[in-house]
Amino acid sequence: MQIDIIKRDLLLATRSKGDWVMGVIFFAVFLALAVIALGNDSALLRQIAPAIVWLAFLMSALLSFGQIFTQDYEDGTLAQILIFQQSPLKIVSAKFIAYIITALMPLWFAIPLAGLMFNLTIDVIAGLMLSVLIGLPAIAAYGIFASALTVVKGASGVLIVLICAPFLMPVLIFGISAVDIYTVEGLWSAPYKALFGLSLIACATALPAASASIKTGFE
Amino acid sequence: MSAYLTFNNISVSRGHTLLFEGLSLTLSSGDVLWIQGTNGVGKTTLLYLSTGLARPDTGALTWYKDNMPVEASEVVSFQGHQDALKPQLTAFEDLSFWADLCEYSGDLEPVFHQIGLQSRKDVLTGKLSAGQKRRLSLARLLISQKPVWIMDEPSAVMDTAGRDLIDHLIHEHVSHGGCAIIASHSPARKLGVSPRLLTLNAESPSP
Repeated sequence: MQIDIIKRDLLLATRSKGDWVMGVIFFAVFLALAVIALGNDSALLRQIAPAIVWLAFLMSALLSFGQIFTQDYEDGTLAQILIFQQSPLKIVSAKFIAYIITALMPLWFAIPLAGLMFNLTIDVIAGLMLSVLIGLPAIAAYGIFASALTVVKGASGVLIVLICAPFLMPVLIFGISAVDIYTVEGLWSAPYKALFGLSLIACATALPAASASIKTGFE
Repeated sequence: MSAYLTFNNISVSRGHTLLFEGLSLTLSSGDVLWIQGTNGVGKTTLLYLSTGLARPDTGALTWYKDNMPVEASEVVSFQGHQDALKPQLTAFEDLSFWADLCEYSGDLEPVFHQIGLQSRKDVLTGKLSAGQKRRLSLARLLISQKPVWIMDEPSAVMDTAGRDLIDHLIHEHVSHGGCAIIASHSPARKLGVSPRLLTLNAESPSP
């Protein structure tokens, strides 16, 4: 049943007249503005590029968190699926995968673009893409959690940012330090392992929490 | 006559208002339960309880399949006041998704014929009329292959032909051993069998 939901979400994304591009556009605009704001010092830009790209990625992801369950909840689909298959964890895990494919992967593929803007070396771009990829499950899991928590209670999107920010902070810290260390120690350095651990913890805690909040939200 | 659903001494309150208490009833195959009552009296709450989505404050609901207690999802399918359709999908794509979800292996063409939408199956559901959307959500009950149909105001936006279609489908379903719970503020209609009436009043809830 997860595969049915994922297939439907992918089909909906292709029919959405490019809603998924919005995140990529925001990502690109954020980076362009950052480059303009920080001036012409290319040595400085190269130095802080990993932090800026990570921030841009998180901000773009935060923007899309609110949409994960909203439509399905408001048109009654979520209730229907729950009635057919009373296992919210299956729904949550399906939405998790679908969200990564439709919202986060387009952003991830846009990272080399940032490399062009900041004039980064291939090594740094590779380190950046790997660190984001390893942190991606954590970002998606906390996004799903915040979205599930707020949607059934009709809470505002601002709450999502407040809920996610503390959880995403360690991901950001280890993500950025992973890029810095990639050129020296490669993929098997401590920050990458920490990032991987954070992703595992996020999947093991945030996904069950999201399914519990959906279940109780209807009661 | 096998039971599908029993309510045992159910009480539900919303905030500080008691909606109903001490509600006990049994739904067996061939039953139609028609829940009447004014707006806001708790009809939809009672339906949500029957689907297993909501839980009563006290008392217990039990669902049965072959006289064994089972999860609600094994026996229940639901038509809410929301149609749960995606405007970006065609009627056929939308119903296919639900068919996959409830493991309906049959052909969807006869289902579209049954609900009178065979000429509209390649139209985006966003472009269907309110009555046609309702018919499509009726089709979900058909493909779910569950014995208990729970329907919230099924004929609200339907024309006369649509109402006859609903009555016909419920009659067919019930005469094949299913049962139905219908919430409506219109007076109960005879659906082949005489429906059992449950009237909810704001002051004195009574079974």
